[in-house]
Amino acid sequence: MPDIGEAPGSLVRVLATEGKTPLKDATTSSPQRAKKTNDRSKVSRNRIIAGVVAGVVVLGVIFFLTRGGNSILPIGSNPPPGKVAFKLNGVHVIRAELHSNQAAQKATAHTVADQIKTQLDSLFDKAYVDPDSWSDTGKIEEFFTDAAKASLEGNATTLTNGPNASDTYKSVDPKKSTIKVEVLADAKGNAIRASAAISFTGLATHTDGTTSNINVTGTAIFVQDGGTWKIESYNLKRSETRPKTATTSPTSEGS
Amino acid sequence: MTKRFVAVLLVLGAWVGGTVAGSLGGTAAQASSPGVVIGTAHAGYTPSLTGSTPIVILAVGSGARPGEDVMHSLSDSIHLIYINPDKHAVAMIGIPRDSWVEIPGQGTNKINSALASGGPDLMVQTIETDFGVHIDYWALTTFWGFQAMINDIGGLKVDVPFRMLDNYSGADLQPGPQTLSGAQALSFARDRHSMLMGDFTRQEDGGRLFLAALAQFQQEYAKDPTALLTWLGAGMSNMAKSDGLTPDQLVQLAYTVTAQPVKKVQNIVLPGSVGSDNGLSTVHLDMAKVTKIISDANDDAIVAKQNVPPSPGRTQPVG
Repeated sequence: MPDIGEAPGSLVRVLATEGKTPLKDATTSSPQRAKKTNDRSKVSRNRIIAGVVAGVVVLGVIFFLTRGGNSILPIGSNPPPGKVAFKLNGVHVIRAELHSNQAAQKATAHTVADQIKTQLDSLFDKAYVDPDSWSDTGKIEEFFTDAAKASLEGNATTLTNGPNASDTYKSVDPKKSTIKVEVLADAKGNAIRASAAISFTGLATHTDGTTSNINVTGTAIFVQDGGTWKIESYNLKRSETRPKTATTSPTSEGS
Repeated sequence: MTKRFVAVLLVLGAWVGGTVAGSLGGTAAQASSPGVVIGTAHAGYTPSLTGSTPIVILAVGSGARPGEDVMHSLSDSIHLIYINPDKHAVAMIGIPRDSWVEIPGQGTNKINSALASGGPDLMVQTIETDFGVHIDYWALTTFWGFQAMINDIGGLKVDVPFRMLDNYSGADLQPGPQTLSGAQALSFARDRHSMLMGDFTRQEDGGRLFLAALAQFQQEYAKDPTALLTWLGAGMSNMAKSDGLTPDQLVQLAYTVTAQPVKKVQNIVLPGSVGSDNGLSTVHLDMAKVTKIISDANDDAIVAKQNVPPSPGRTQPVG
């Protein structure tokens, strides 16, 4: 039998003890034993109550720490957002030579389109959805050519959620997003360049509980670089709708 | 008694705990009140070539008819295109096709016969020798390739300077801004009978088409950068080019001209006078002026104002 006098007050342990004690005590019969048992029962009951009180207090604290949009603990907050998965809305071949192997060009275009989709899924995840990287253009450098990398920092507010994103957003959940890919291919079907027309939407939940839609649209031109397709040039626009359902009055507007 | 005490303690504890936690939560939320980004932000990047040494491209329009050898026929239009990436300067220099010049190994003849005699290589050699130019690349297109190119980009917006009506080229164009089809653009480029300065104006009109194409390309690229691939496809699939000019270099050139101000493009025709040699209608270039023009262009792709000849094209149309 566990020594309840030394019980540290763990709610689980107290309840477990309570369930066992009466069954054992029911087998005693002498008055002294009965008194002892009675005293033990009182002590036991008081400790159970104290445990329950402590438990309720703990639950109360947890409730307030994690309620609504003001949660300051991650426990029980919104489920983690999904990953970006662009829908490929079309693949088109642009011939760089008149007499071409069209079957080879078509096959290449689909392969390239899939590769570009994978790149964009990952890029947009890092740029707008993953809180660990959504402020940092350094985390998306890998998707751009060396020449294009130099342009990233100056475009941080468009190419990511901005330098103070975690002060603004709690999460961004990717919604319906599409790309259309065009591939410039030579006569043998080798891809020279590829472009993607991009439309990304993410539902942003702000730290104040409001929500807004983040939309990123535009185009990027890709070149094969180091065994992967990297962005060589881009023209992107990031827009955001006004937050909805403010639970507290907004503190600022515009930027 | 104990029960009451415990009940009170329980409620009190929950309230105190909750209140403390709530106030902590409120503070944190307030502290992180968003500097909400609402509205739009825009970002773009376009690579370009660098360097102040001009890149020189010889653009030739072959006069071959279907079935003829495209690479060995009389050339119909001849342009040197100088590009200075650092200075965003472009000089287009038209060479009248009837220019009476020395052709290496062939004696004196019209410059357009160089292509027929020795293909693009002899054409390059002739111009390099006679004018003191180093040509980096050449590009050649045909009548039908030119038409297809224009049709592939959906037509070309051109401001036709005056009424053009010419049975030889098929030109039948009213003056004013309009979108020309491939066939119309070709007739515009070939017409030399609707104007007094004939071949000179024709070369200038070729430059005018380049300018119109540049302006349209830039507009379309600004609106939708994927236009770059459409234009590259139209160009690459309808022209022959020198072996050294790789697709990658063409892409880089295309990017470079996206940033080229149209107003900084010079459209020049080498000056000279019309003459006759061996029973042929010829053009005698004013070599003193030609040397200055070419020298300026070789330096930085900018021809000094005092060396720019007057436009031949604004003379009264014939008929």
